[in-house]
Amino acid sequence: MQSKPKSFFDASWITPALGFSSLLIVVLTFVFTFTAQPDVQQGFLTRILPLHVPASWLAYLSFGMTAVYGLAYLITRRNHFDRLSASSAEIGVVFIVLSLFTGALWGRPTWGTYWQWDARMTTTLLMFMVYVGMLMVRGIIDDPARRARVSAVIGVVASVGVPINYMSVYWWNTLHQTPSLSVAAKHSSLANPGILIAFLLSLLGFTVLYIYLLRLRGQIALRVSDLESEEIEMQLGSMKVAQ
Amino acid sequence: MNPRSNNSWKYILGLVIILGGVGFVLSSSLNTNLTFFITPSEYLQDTAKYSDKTVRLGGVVQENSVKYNKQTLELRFVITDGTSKFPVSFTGTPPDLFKPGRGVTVEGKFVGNTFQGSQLLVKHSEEYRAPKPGEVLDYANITDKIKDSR
Repeated sequence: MQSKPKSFFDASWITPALGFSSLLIVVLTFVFTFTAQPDVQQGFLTRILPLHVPASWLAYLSFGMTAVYGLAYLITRRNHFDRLSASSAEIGVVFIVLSLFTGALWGRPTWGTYWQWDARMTTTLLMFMVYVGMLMVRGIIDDPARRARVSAVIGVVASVGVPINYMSVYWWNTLHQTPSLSVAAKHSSLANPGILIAFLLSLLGFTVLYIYLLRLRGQIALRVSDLESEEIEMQLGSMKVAQ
Repeated sequence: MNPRSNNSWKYILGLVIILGGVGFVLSSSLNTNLTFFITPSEYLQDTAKYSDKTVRLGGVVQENSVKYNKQTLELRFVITDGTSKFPVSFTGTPPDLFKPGRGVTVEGKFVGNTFQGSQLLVKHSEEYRAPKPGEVLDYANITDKIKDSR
Protein backbone atom coordinates (compact mmCIF):
# COMPACT_ATOMS: atom_id res chain seq x y z
CA MET A 1 0.00 0.00 0.00
CA GLN A 2 1.13 3.49 -0.77
CA SER A 3 0.85 5.88 2.14
CA LYS A 4 0.58 9.50 1.11
CA PRO A 5 -0.37 12.54 3.15
CA LYS A 6 -4.07 13.23 2.59
CA SER A 7 -4.68 16.23 0.38
CA PHE A 8 -7.92 18.04 -0.42
CA PHE A 9 -8.32 16.00 -3.62
CA ASP A 10 -8.31 12.73 -1.68
CA ALA A 11 -11.56 13.58 0.10
CA SER A 12 -14.05 10.76 -0.36
CA TRP A 13 -16.98 13.01 -1.28
CA ILE A 14 -15.32 14.48 -4.38
CA THR A 15 -15.83 11.51 -6.70
CA PRO A 16 -19.59 11.08 -6.06
CA ALA A 17 -20.02 14.86 -6.22
CA LEU A 18 -18.40 14.88 -9.69
CA GLY A 19 -20.68 12.04 -10.80
CA PHE A 20 -23.75 13.87 -9.56
CA SER A 21 -22.73 17.14 -11.21
CA SER A 22 -22.20 15.49 -14.58
CA LEU A 23 -25.62 13.84 -14.31
CA LEU A 24 -27.18 17.22 -13.52
CA ILE A 25 -25.51 18.91 -16.50
CA VAL A 26 -26.54 16.06 -18.81
CA VAL A 27 -30.18 16.48 -17.71
CA LEU A 28 -29.91 20.23 -18.45
CA THR A 29 -28.40 19.39 -21.84
CA PHE A 30 -31.43 17.23 -22.62
CA VAL A 31 -33.79 20.09 -21.70
CA PHE A 32 -32.02 22.52 -24.06
CA THR A 33 -31.63 19.92 -26.82
CA PHE A 34 -35.27 18.97 -26.85
CA THR A 35 -36.55 22.54 -26.69
CA ALA A 36 -34.21 23.80 -29.44
CA GLN A 37 -35.76 24.89 -32.68
CA PRO A 38 -35.36 22.48 -35.58
CA ASP A 39 -32.64 23.24 -38.12
CA VAL A 40 -33.58 24.81 -41.47
CA GLN A 41 -31.92 21.98 -43.40
CA GLN A 42 -31.93 18.97 -41.12
CA GLY A 43 -34.93 19.57 -38.91
CA PHE A 44 -34.83 17.58 -35.70
CA LEU A 45 -31.80 15.57 -36.82
CA THR A 46 -29.46 18.30 -35.49
CA ARG A 47 -30.45 17.26 -31.97
CA ILE A 48 -27.88 14.49 -32.08
CA LEU A 49 -25.07 17.09 -32.32
CA PRO A 50 -24.85 17.77 -28.54
CA LEU A 51 -24.24 14.05 -28.06
CA HIS A 52 -22.04 13.18 -31.06
CA VAL A 53 -19.55 16.06 -30.87
CA PRO A 54 -18.92 15.96 -27.07
CA ALA A 55 -18.50 12.17 -27.28
CA SER A 56 -15.78 12.71 -29.89
CA TRP A 57 -14.23 15.46 -27.72
CA LEU A 58 -14.12 13.07 -24.77
CA ALA A 59 -12.36 10.45 -26.87
CA TYR A 60 -9.76 13.07 -27.88
CA LEU A 61 -9.37 14.21 -24.25
CA SER A 62 -9.06 10.64 -22.96
CA PHE A 63 -6.47 9.62 -25.53
CA GLY A 64 -4.56 12.86 -24.99
CA MET A 65 -4.50 12.25 -21.24
CA THR A 66 -3.49 8.62 -21.84
CA ALA A 67 -0.33 10.00 -23.47
CA VAL A 68 0.22 12.64 -20.77
CA TYR A 69 -0.07 10.08 -17.95
CA GLY A 70 2.02 7.60 -19.95
CA LEU A 71 4.76 10.19 -20.32
CA ALA A 72 4.48 11.03 -16.61
CA TYR A 73 4.95 7.34 -15.83
CA LEU A 74 8.01 7.05 -18.08
CA ILE A 75 9.60 10.03 -16.30
CA THR A 76 8.64 9.35 -12.68
CA ARG A 77 8.02 5.55 -12.76
CA ARG A 78 5.16 6.04 -10.33
CA ASN A 79 2.52 3.29 -10.69
CA HIS A 80 -0.15 5.91 -10.03
CA PHE A 81 0.40 7.35 -13.51
CA ASP A 82 0.28 3.94 -15.17
CA ARG A 83 -3.12 3.27 -13.64
CA LEU A 84 -4.47 6.66 -14.76
CA SER A 85 -3.06 6.21 -18.28
CA ALA A 86 -4.78 2.83 -18.70
CA SER A 87 -8.03 4.08 -17.13
CA SER A 88 -8.06 7.06 -19.48
CA ALA A 89 -7.56 4.76 -22.50
CA GLU A 90 -10.52 2.63 -21.37
CA ILE A 91 -12.76 5.72 -21.08
CA GLY A 92 -11.58 6.84 -24.53
CA VAL A 93 -12.56 3.51 -26.08
CA VAL A 94 -16.08 3.77 -24.62
CA PHE A 95 -16.59 7.28 -25.97
CA ILE A 96 -15.06 6.67 -29.40
CA VAL A 97 -17.59 3.84 -29.79
CA LEU A 98 -20.36 6.25 -28.79
CA SER A 99 -19.01 8.73 -31.35
CA LEU A 100 -18.90 6.13 -34.14
CA PHE A 101 -22.38 4.89 -33.26
CA THR A 102 -24.08 8.31 -33.07
CA GLY A 103 -22.20 9.34 -36.23
CA ALA A 104 -23.63 6.38 -38.11
CA LEU A 105 -27.14 7.18 -36.88
CA TRP A 106 -26.72 10.79 -38.00
CA GLY A 107 -25.12 9.88 -41.30
CA ARG A 108 -27.90 7.63 -42.58
CA PRO A 109 -30.68 10.27 -42.80
CA THR A 110 -28.39 13.19 -43.77
CA TRP A 111 -25.66 11.79 -46.03
CA GLY A 112 -27.66 8.75 -47.07
CA THR A 113 -25.23 6.21 -45.61
CA TYR A 114 -24.27 4.76 -42.24
CA TRP A 115 -20.63 4.36 -43.15
CA GLN A 116 -18.12 5.47 -45.79
CA TRP A 117 -14.37 5.01 -45.86
CA ASP A 118 -13.59 8.71 -45.78
CA ALA A 119 -10.53 9.97 -43.93
CA ARG A 120 -12.37 11.08 -40.79
CA MET A 121 -14.25 7.83 -40.30
CA THR A 122 -11.34 5.59 -41.27
CA THR A 123 -8.92 7.28 -38.86
CA THR A 124 -11.54 7.15 -36.07
CA LEU A 125 -11.96 3.41 -36.56
CA LEU A 126 -8.16 2.98 -36.63
CA MET A 127 -7.81 4.88 -33.34
CA PHE A 128 -10.47 2.67 -31.76
CA MET A 129 -8.54 -0.44 -32.83
CA VAL A 130 -5.17 0.88 -31.68
CA TYR A 131 -6.45 1.59 -28.16
CA VAL A 132 -8.29 -1.73 -27.88
CA GLY A 133 -4.98 -3.27 -28.97
CA MET A 134 -3.18 -1.35 -26.22
CA LEU A 135 -5.57 -2.79 -23.62
CA MET A 136 -5.00 -6.28 -25.10
CA VAL A 137 -1.24 -5.84 -24.77
CA ARG A 138 -1.74 -4.85 -21.13
CA GLY A 139 -3.63 -8.10 -20.62
CA ILE A 140 -0.84 -10.22 -22.08
CA ILE A 141 2.07 -8.89 -19.99
CA ASP A 142 2.21 -10.29 -16.44
CA ASP A 143 5.10 -8.27 -15.03
CA PRO A 144 3.52 -5.00 -13.74
CA ALA A 145 6.63 -2.84 -14.37
CA ARG A 146 7.10 -4.15 -17.92
CA ARG A 147 3.35 -3.84 -18.62
CA ALA A 148 3.38 -0.21 -17.48
CA ARG A 149 6.45 0.61 -19.60
CA VAL A 150 5.13 -0.98 -22.82
CA SER A 151 1.66 0.49 -22.30
CA ALA A 152 3.04 3.99 -21.69
CA VAL A 153 5.08 3.88 -24.90
CA ILE A 154 2.05 2.72 -26.92
CA GLY A 155 -0.07 5.42 -25.26
CA VAL A 156 2.37 8.18 -26.13
CA VAL A 157 2.91 7.05 -29.74
CA ALA A 158 -0.79 6.37 -30.44
CA SER A 159 -1.80 9.88 -29.39
CA VAL A 160 -0.54 11.12 -32.78
CA GLY A 161 -3.93 9.90 -33.99
CA VAL A 162 -5.75 12.72 -32.19
CA PRO A 163 -4.42 15.64 -34.30
CA ILE A 164 -4.52 13.54 -37.49
CA ASN A 165 -8.15 12.66 -36.83
CA TYR A 166 -9.06 16.29 -36.03
CA MET A 167 -7.27 17.69 -39.09
CA SER A 168 -8.43 14.95 -41.48
CA VAL A 169 -11.44 17.01 -42.62
CA TYR A 170 -9.10 19.87 -43.61
CA TRP A 171 -6.29 17.80 -45.13
CA TRP A 172 -8.36 15.56 -47.37
CA ASN A 173 -11.68 15.83 -49.18
CA THR A 174 -14.02 14.07 -46.79
CA LEU A 175 -17.72 13.34 -46.64
CA HIS A 176 -17.62 14.54 -43.03
CA GLN A 177 -18.04 18.28 -42.66
CA THR A 178 -15.52 20.57 -40.96
CA PRO A 179 -16.10 21.67 -37.32
CA SER A 180 -19.02 24.03 -36.73
CA LEU A 181 -17.22 25.73 -33.90
CA SER A 182 -13.54 26.60 -33.90
CA VAL A 183 -11.89 28.64 -31.18
CA ALA A 184 -8.63 28.92 -33.15
CA ALA A 185 -10.37 30.25 -36.26
CA LYS A 186 -12.86 32.30 -34.17
CA HIS A 187 -15.66 30.86 -36.21
CA SER A 188 -19.10 29.56 -35.30
CA SER A 189 -21.69 28.15 -37.66
CA LEU A 190 -23.97 27.11 -34.84
CA ALA A 191 -26.53 29.84 -35.35
CA ASN A 192 -29.21 27.97 -33.44
CA PRO A 193 -29.24 29.25 -29.81
CA GLY A 194 -30.86 26.15 -28.32
CA ILE A 195 -28.44 23.76 -29.98
CA LEU A 196 -25.44 26.00 -29.21
CA ILE A 197 -26.28 26.19 -25.47
CA ALA A 198 -27.00 22.45 -25.35
CA PHE A 199 -23.70 21.74 -27.12
CA LEU A 200 -21.61 23.92 -24.76
CA LEU A 201 -23.37 22.47 -21.68
CA SER A 202 -22.83 18.98 -23.00
CA LEU A 203 -19.11 19.67 -23.55
CA LEU A 204 -18.85 20.76 -19.90
CA GLY A 205 -20.95 17.84 -18.65
CA PHE A 206 -18.94 15.26 -20.57
CA THR A 207 -15.67 16.77 -19.32
CA VAL A 208 -16.87 16.52 -15.69
CA LEU A 209 -18.01 12.98 -16.48
CA TYR A 210 -14.48 12.19 -17.69
CA ILE A 211 -12.90 13.39 -14.44
CA TYR A 212 -15.48 11.37 -12.49
CA LEU A 213 -14.91 8.19 -14.49
CA LEU A 214 -11.13 8.60 -14.36
CA ARG A 215 -11.15 8.93 -10.55
CA LEU A 216 -13.54 6.01 -10.16
CA ARG A 217 -11.58 3.76 -12.52
CA GLY A 218 -8.29 4.85 -10.93
CA GLN A 219 -9.57 3.87 -7.48
CA ILE A 220 -10.63 0.44 -8.77
CA ALA A 221 -7.29 0.02 -10.55
CA LEU A 222 -5.47 0.79 -7.26
CA ARG A 223 -7.36 -2.02 -5.50
CA VAL A 224 -6.65 -4.42 -8.37
CA SER A 225 -2.93 -3.61 -8.23
CA ASP A 226 -2.89 -4.01 -4.42
CA LEU A 227 -4.44 -7.46 -4.89
CA GLU A 228 -1.88 -8.25 -7.57
CA SER A 229 1.10 -7.31 -5.39
CA GLU A 230 -0.37 -9.34 -2.51
CA GLU A 231 -0.56 -12.35 -4.85
CA ILE A 232 3.06 -11.88 -5.89
CA GLU A 233 4.17 -11.61 -2.24
CA MET A 234 2.23 -14.78 -1.38
CA GLN A 235 3.88 -16.63 -4.26
CA LEU A 236 7.31 -15.47 -3.17
CA GLY A 237 6.44 -16.58 0.40
CA SER A 238 5.33 -20.05 -0.67
CA MET A 239 8.47 -20.44 -2.82
CA LYS A 240 10.63 -19.75 0.23
CA VAL A 241 8.65 -22.31 2.23
CA ALA A 242 9.17 -24.89 -0.53
CA GLN A 243 12.92 -24.29 -0.47
CA MET B 1 1.53 -20.33 -11.15
CA ASN B 2 0.24 -16.85 -11.78
CA PRO B 3 -3.54 -16.93 -12.31
CA ARG B 4 -3.21 -14.06 -14.83
CA SER B 5 -1.24 -16.13 -17.31
CA ASN B 6 -4.22 -18.47 -17.74
CA ASN B 7 -6.00 -15.56 -19.37
CA SER B 8 -3.15 -14.53 -21.68
CA TRP B 9 -4.33 -16.51 -24.70
CA LYS B 10 -7.62 -14.59 -24.66
CA TYR B 11 -5.77 -11.30 -24.90
CA ILE B 12 -3.47 -12.68 -27.60
CA LEU B 13 -6.53 -13.79 -29.58
CA GLY B 14 -8.02 -10.32 -29.10
CA LEU B 15 -4.82 -8.69 -30.27
CA VAL B 16 -4.70 -10.89 -33.39
CA ILE B 17 -8.29 -9.90 -34.23
CA ILE B 18 -7.43 -6.21 -33.72
CA LEU B 19 -4.30 -6.43 -35.89
CA GLY B 20 -6.33 -8.19 -38.57
CA GLY B 21 -8.88 -5.40 -38.35
CA VAL B 22 -6.21 -2.72 -38.69
CA GLY B 23 -4.86 -4.54 -41.74
CA PHE B 24 -8.32 -4.70 -43.25
CA VAL B 25 -8.99 -1.00 -42.66
CA LEU B 26 -5.61 0.00 -44.09
CA SER B 27 -6.06 -2.13 -47.21
CA SER B 28 -9.62 -0.94 -47.80
CA SER B 29 -8.70 2.70 -47.40
CA LEU B 30 -5.63 2.28 -49.61
CA ASN B 31 -7.95 0.95 -52.31
CA THR B 32 -10.33 3.88 -52.13
CA ASN B 33 -7.62 6.42 -51.31
CA LEU B 34 -7.73 8.91 -48.46
CA THR B 35 -9.29 11.47 -50.76
CA PHE B 36 -12.96 10.64 -50.63
CA PHE B 37 -13.91 12.61 -53.75
CA ILE B 38 -12.46 14.81 -56.48
CA THR B 39 -14.00 18.02 -57.73
CA PRO B 40 -15.01 18.48 -61.39
CA SER B 41 -12.01 20.83 -61.84
CA GLU B 42 -9.63 18.24 -60.41
CA TYR B 43 -11.08 15.73 -62.85
CA LEU B 44 -10.53 18.07 -65.81
CA GLN B 45 -6.92 18.71 -64.77
CA ASP B 46 -6.05 15.03 -64.85
CA THR B 47 -8.59 13.41 -67.15
CA ALA B 48 -6.21 10.69 -68.32
CA LYS B 49 -5.65 9.49 -64.77
CA TYR B 50 -9.34 9.16 -63.93
CA SER B 51 -10.98 8.15 -67.23
CA ASP B 52 -12.43 4.62 -67.39
CA LYS B 53 -12.09 4.40 -63.63
CA THR B 54 -14.76 4.52 -60.96
CA VAL B 55 -14.37 7.88 -59.27
CA ARG B 56 -16.35 9.95 -56.80
CA LEU B 57 -17.19 13.46 -57.91
CA GLY B 58 -17.93 16.04 -55.24
CA GLY B 59 -19.63 19.37 -55.85
CA VAL B 60 -22.79 21.38 -55.58
CA VAL B 61 -26.09 20.58 -57.31
CA GLN B 62 -26.64 23.45 -59.73
CA GLU B 63 -29.85 25.43 -59.25
CA ASN B 64 -32.64 24.66 -61.74
CA SER B 65 -30.80 21.66 -63.12
CA VAL B 66 -32.62 18.85 -61.26
CA LYS B 67 -34.99 16.64 -63.25
CA TYR B 68 -36.44 13.65 -61.40
CA ASN B 69 -38.85 11.12 -62.84
CA LYS B 70 -40.66 9.45 -59.93
CA GLN B 71 -41.93 6.60 -62.13
CA THR B 72 -38.58 5.48 -63.55
CA LEU B 73 -36.51 6.88 -60.63
CA GLU B 74 -34.28 8.59 -63.18
CA LEU B 75 -32.51 11.62 -61.71
CA ARG B 76 -30.61 14.13 -63.80
CA PHE B 77 -28.79 17.16 -62.53
CA VAL B 78 -25.62 19.21 -63.08
CA ILE B 79 -22.75 19.01 -60.60
CA THR B 80 -20.50 22.06 -60.33
CA ASP B 81 -17.67 23.42 -58.22
CA GLY B 82 -18.09 26.97 -59.49
CA THR B 83 -15.60 26.70 -62.37
CA SER B 84 -16.33 23.34 -64.05
CA LYS B 85 -19.56 21.39 -64.36
CA PHE B 86 -20.76 18.02 -65.60
CA PRO B 87 -24.21 16.55 -66.21
CA VAL B 88 -24.94 13.62 -63.88
CA SER B 89 -27.40 10.81 -64.39
CA PHE B 90 -28.43 8.55 -61.52
CA THR B 91 -31.12 5.91 -61.06
CA GLY B 92 -32.61 5.47 -57.60
CA THR B 93 -33.99 7.47 -54.72
CA PRO B 94 -31.82 10.42 -53.70
CA PRO B 95 -31.20 11.02 -49.94
CA ASP B 96 -33.74 13.23 -48.15
CA LEU B 97 -31.45 16.24 -47.97
CA PHE B 98 -30.75 16.22 -51.74
CA LYS B 99 -31.65 19.66 -53.09
CA PRO B 100 -30.33 22.22 -55.59
CA GLY B 101 -27.58 24.29 -54.00
CA ARG B 102 -26.46 21.50 -51.65
CA GLY B 103 -23.20 19.58 -51.69
CA VAL B 104 -23.22 16.02 -53.01
CA THR B 105 -20.76 13.26 -53.84
CA VAL B 106 -21.53 10.87 -56.70
CA GLU B 107 -19.66 7.64 -57.28
CA GLY B 108 -19.64 6.40 -60.86
CA LYS B 109 -18.04 6.57 -64.30
CA PHE B 110 -18.09 8.88 -67.27
CA VAL B 111 -20.12 7.64 -70.20
CA GLY B 112 -19.32 10.12 -72.95
CA ASN B 113 -19.65 13.50 -71.32
CA THR B 114 -22.29 12.42 -68.79
CA PHE B 115 -21.30 11.10 -65.38
CA GLN B 116 -23.18 7.88 -64.73
CA GLY B 117 -23.63 7.71 -60.97
CA SER B 118 -24.09 4.50 -59.02
CA GLN B 119 -24.12 5.97 -55.52
CA LEU B 120 -25.35 9.39 -54.45
CA LEU B 121 -24.52 10.91 -51.05
CA VAL B 122 -25.39 14.32 -49.66
CA LYS B 123 -22.49 16.24 -48.16
CA HIS B 124 -24.18 18.50 -45.66
CA SER B 125 -22.50 21.66 -44.41
CA GLU B 126 -21.32 22.43 -40.88
CA GLU B 127 -23.76 25.32 -40.71
CA TYR B 128 -26.80 25.02 -38.51
CA ARG B 129 -29.41 27.67 -37.88
CA ALA B 130 -32.91 28.00 -36.56
CA PRO B 131 -35.59 29.43 -38.86
CA LYS B 132 -35.42 33.22 -39.16
CA PRO B 133 -38.40 35.29 -37.93
CA GLY B 134 -41.13 34.95 -40.49
CA GLU B 135 -39.54 31.86 -42.04
CA VAL B 136 -41.97 28.98 -41.80
CA LEU B 137 -40.65 25.47 -41.43
CA ASP B 138 -42.78 22.63 -42.71
CA TYR B 139 -42.79 20.55 -39.51
CA ALA B 140 -45.00 17.83 -40.98
CA ASN B 141 -42.60 17.42 -43.89
CA ILE B 142 -39.59 17.23 -41.55
CA THR B 143 -41.28 14.58 -39.40
CA ASP B 144 -42.15 12.58 -42.51
CA LYS B 145 -38.56 12.75 -43.68
CA ILE B 146 -37.35 11.25 -40.41
CA LYS B 147 -39.94 8.50 -40.67
CA ASP B 148 -39.01 7.76 -44.29
CA SER B 149 -35.33 7.46 -43.57
CA ARG B 150 -35.77 4.68 -41.03
